Amino acid sequence: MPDQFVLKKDNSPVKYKAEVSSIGNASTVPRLKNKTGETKNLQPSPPAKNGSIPKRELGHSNELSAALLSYDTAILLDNIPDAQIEQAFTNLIIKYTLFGGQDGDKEFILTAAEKLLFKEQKLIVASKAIQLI
Amino acid sequence: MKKTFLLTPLFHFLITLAVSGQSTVEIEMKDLIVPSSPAFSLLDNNPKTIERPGTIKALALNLVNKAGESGGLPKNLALEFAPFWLFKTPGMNIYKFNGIETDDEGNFKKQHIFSGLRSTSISLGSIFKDSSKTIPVDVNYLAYGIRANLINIRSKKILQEVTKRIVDINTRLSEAITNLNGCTKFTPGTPEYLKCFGESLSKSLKNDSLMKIYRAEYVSLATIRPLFSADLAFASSTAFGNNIYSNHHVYRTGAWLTLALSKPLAKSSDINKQLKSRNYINAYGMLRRMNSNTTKDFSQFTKNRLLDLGGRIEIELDKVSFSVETIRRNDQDNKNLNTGKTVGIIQYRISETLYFLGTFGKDFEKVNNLIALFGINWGFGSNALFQKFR
Repeated sequence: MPDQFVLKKDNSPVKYKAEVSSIGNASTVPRLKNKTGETKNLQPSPPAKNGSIPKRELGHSNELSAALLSYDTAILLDNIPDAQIEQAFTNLIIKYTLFGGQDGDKEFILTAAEKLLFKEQKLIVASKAIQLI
Repeated sequence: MKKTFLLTPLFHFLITLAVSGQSTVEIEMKDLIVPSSPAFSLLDNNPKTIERPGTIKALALNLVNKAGESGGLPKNLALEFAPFWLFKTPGMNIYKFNGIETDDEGNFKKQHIFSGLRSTSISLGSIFKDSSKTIPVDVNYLAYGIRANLINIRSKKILQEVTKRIVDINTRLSEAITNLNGCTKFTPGTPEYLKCFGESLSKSLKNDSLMKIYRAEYVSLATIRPLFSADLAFASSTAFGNNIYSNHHVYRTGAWLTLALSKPLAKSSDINKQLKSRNYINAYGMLRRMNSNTTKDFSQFTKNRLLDLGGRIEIELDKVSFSVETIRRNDQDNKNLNTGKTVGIIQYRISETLYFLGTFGKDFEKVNNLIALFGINWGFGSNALFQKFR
């Protein structure tokens, strides 16, 4: 069951951002699936921001109703000693923020169930979905 | 002729073994290097397994279990951890981790020379010796130690390249994620989606030859020898007699400092040459202070305070290295026991772990102190004094 973000019932702008705290190389690709089931890739995290996405406009409340916003993040742990790979995985923090909802701004945190470690490839993948209602 | 060539080094090697066996001071340059686990080093203990808890909870559980097993002070404890890895660090990123500060576009701005402090590690060790051993008392030796990489100064050019590789890898990673379309049948954020996402991305990365090059270059650049590094360690130990807390004495206390200067002989503007270079001029300075209390009965103790200083200047030219090293031992309680050794060393690398070694100079002894030896050395090469960054 995805997290939920309650939109305003008007034409006000909704913004989003993501902050990745990790010692590896990281990139995040946000996607938006609208109520008709059509999915579009949004602009990925700037390479220099290492997975984090600065505050950006997502759209207007009345257009976003019933849409699903998702973030796919991948992290490469090259140069991290094998003994510390699992600790790097445990210590990963991703904070997602949506702005301009009915209750103002709302933060969502990546949970343990939303990330997976592929130890041999030194790869962490994380996925977060937020239902806009 | 060929036989002579083969037999001469062997003959000298055997002679050398006989001569070196006469030395009363047994200290080598590698003994002065900051140890990776100072607590175990102080107890002369080389544990087969070292517990490395990954969380605060695991650390606490480990200590409680060890104390519970022994009914008091833990016996035969070998524990090591770096506090940085035990905690989540909000705001951490790959640049900070590498000691790099960038501007908003990801361009290199400056380096943080103290970033190695993050890898500071703490070691705790104990060893139990019953009364049938050297002392007629059951003694539990308990030691704690800390090791830190104080300073790392790296080439600006190298760090600029590290920064570029980070951006290259992140760009390529974004493209790889964007191009994955096979997981749309699953809902994002679910275990099925994560599995599909991870497996598809792994496959994509394995087939991406450019990404493999970027990743390998990033690792090589990030681990290249610093121009200058300083490492420090401190450890202390206490001996508890008959498992009685009040019956305790400081056993050994030690401090180590290693300074390493490493200048590649390749042109600093040519990064590829620097990465492949095995030609360096190195200078090392080492200091070890060791205080110890020795006893035969656990009631009378004798203090022994030693200050060891070492230095080496070395030229590495691919397979061959020339160096001069000196070690000075100052006995703080008896100046008559002060001694030193200065030698010139030539090493030729036959393979990665096999070295031909020639040493000439003055040994620690006051008489009969000329060293002239040849030999084959396994595992300890010209780079052994260099501790890989992080």
